[in-house]
Amino acid sequence: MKAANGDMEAFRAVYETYSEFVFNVALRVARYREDAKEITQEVFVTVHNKLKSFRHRSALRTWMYRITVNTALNYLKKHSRMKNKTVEYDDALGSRYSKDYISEKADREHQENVINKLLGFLTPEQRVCIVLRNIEGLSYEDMAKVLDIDINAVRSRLKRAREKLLSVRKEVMVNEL
Amino acid sequence: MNCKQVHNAILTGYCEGEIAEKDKETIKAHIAGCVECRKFEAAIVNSVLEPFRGVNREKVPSDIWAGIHKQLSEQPAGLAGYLSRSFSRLFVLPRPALLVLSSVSMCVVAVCLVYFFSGTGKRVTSAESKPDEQMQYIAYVMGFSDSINGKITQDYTDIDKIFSR
Repeated sequence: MKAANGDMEAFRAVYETYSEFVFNVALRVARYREDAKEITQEVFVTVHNKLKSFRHRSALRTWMYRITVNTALNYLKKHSRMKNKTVEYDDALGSRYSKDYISEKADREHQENVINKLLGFLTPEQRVCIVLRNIEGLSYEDMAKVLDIDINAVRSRLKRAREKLLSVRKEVMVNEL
Repeated sequence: MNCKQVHNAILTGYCEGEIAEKDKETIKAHIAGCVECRKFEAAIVNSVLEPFRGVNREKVPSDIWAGIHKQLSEQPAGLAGYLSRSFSRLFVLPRPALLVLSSVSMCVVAVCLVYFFSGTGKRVTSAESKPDEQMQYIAYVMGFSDSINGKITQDYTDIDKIFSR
């Protein structure tokens, strides 16, 4: 309530609670670290401006997932022409691992590469479905609320995304190994 | 249940427990007796579900909050801020909404133009003015009047002057 009334310290607490999943969803959907930072920033500015009108009809977390997904998809549409100018997430990860996670297991890095390559084959809308279900672990019902579609549409989108993943998986494995 | 229906169920919910208990038992029984569906289930689990399990979660970069704080403090507060945000939202309307808006506004302009021109035309319709003009002209020719359409016609031509003498 304090955050909705413009109390910056209270809003900072909201940010601390939710920024981790907002950033991770943005990162998986956008696939570029710099883009994910911009999306996260935009999400929290939107949340700050709309917090007063939040009616608690849905959980705050679901509401924030919805804002994150919509912001990420709009961002990708807006910046699709500039894609080749940004640093690829794969490359950013590679450089980060070489500096910060040099002692991490190689299979973890391998898993990250496989996941990001797999997600790269999907459309942004399909990527959102896989991220919400497979990474964030949302139920089909919660996904329907976040995406504002019915549960059958969720199943249909997931089905198409997974069929696509199944068809490209072999190709990724060949390149990775 | 045939293999296609089982494949659909495997793709959307069976492996994740997002399916009715009754259907789950039917599918389980089908898979137990169908080699193709067993292979398909294994492929989905290994290629589509397993790679995402226990995925690494990235830490949030520390400079994001500073950016948010800066952006929020630069925003105009109160009603002015609300109005400016609403106004700026007009320019980020999705393309179909812009198309509908522009079409509607063009239709309104077209209707206004048609109404305006048809309205002024009505005021000078020849149907109302013609009989009067004709009557005045006939009266003038017959010599009952020396004016046409209310105007005194004093400026005769030379031929008029000769005949009037």
